[in-house]
Amino acid sequence: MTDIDFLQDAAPQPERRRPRITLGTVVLLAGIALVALVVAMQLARQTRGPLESGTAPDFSVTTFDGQPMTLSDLRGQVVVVNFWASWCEPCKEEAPHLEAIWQTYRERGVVVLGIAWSDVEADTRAFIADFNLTYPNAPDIGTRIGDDYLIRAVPETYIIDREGQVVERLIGNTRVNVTYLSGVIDRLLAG
Amino acid sequence: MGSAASRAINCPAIPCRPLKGRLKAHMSCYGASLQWTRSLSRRLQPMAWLLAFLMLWAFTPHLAAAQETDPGVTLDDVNTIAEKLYCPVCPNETLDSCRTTACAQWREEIRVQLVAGRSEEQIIADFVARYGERVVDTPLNATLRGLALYTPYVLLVLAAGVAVFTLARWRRGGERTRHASSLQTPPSVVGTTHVSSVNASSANPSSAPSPQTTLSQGEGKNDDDYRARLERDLKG
Repeated sequence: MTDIDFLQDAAPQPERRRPRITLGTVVLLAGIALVALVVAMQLARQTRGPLESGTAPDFSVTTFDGQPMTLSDLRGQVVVVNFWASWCEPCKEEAPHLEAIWQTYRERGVVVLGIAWSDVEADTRAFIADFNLTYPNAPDIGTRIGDDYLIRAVPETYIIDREGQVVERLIGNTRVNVTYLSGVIDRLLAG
Repeated sequence: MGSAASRAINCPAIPCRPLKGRLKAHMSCYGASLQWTRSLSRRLQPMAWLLAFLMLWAFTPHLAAAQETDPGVTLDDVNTIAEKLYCPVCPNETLDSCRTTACAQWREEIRVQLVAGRSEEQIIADFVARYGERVVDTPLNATLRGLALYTPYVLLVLAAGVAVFTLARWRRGGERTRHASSLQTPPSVVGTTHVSSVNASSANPSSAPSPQTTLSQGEGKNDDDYRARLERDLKG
């Protein structure tokens, strides 16, 4: 071993410095956390299941006749909430059935409530007049009710029991007919 | 008609051959051309009707468009607003390009409001109030709109700043390490000049700043330790 080797071996190694938390690190971590939060919120929103059961979200509306209505005030009655629009063709097919249900059950503690979703008021009123709808109808201002019920398109119909629980969620109009609705409503009234 | 004098006359109307005696006597050139014209017009009549129909069909949309709009409100005016709004049912489809009945109704609603003298901002605000924020591409609230529009750029600038800062720090750290390792190299390897500078600086700390003075406290301490060990080893 030469002197040089000895000296090189004896030379102290520089101390490893502790990593410091700098402003850049904080900003970077905050950015990553923010992006992760946004992604998580979006995923949670997308994976939110449809409203098949549970307590029906409460809402208040003013009908086209100017009558205020609140869902929670209708506790003790069976409520059929129908989301529709005048531009929706299936809605035209189911409207007479809903009117028939209203006429048949209105004295027996059943309320049919139409919610006009994403519709122009003049067209909504024309639709109501064309189909001679006498059950209460109201606009979904700001589509807030539709958001609460996770409406993606119309028609959608919810049948809510006397305790305010969602019993049926009917997508489209295939089951929105007098026969099917009567069966469900009779069962709820009997229970 | 049919005279012998006409037999050798060239037809002035159509470039037919000179009439010859073989032609029927009652058919003069003028008569032939007249008949040919009538025959042609009869043959072309369906085509003329077809052409007229096609022209009518071609202009019908323009007529319809003209009927749709009121004076002062054009379809372009309607579409200028419609392209900033989104269809209620079709995902990511703007109102101007969507062909659903819902969008047709909404476009009509825009037109009605334009005719009523409402501004673009008022119409969009009305749509948002009635159908929610999802009908617009960016929030109407100034704060949220600013966040939505500028957050990506702010993040980009921040990321670039962090990257530049980090690179600069790495570079500075690398230079410092190289400098420290050159100072820690045994004097006999580096050369006498370096040793003398080290000694000079250690002998007179208040002298002009040497490379040593730029080192951190920890690295200066290492150098002192090293020097002490070196002197001890040399004595031993």
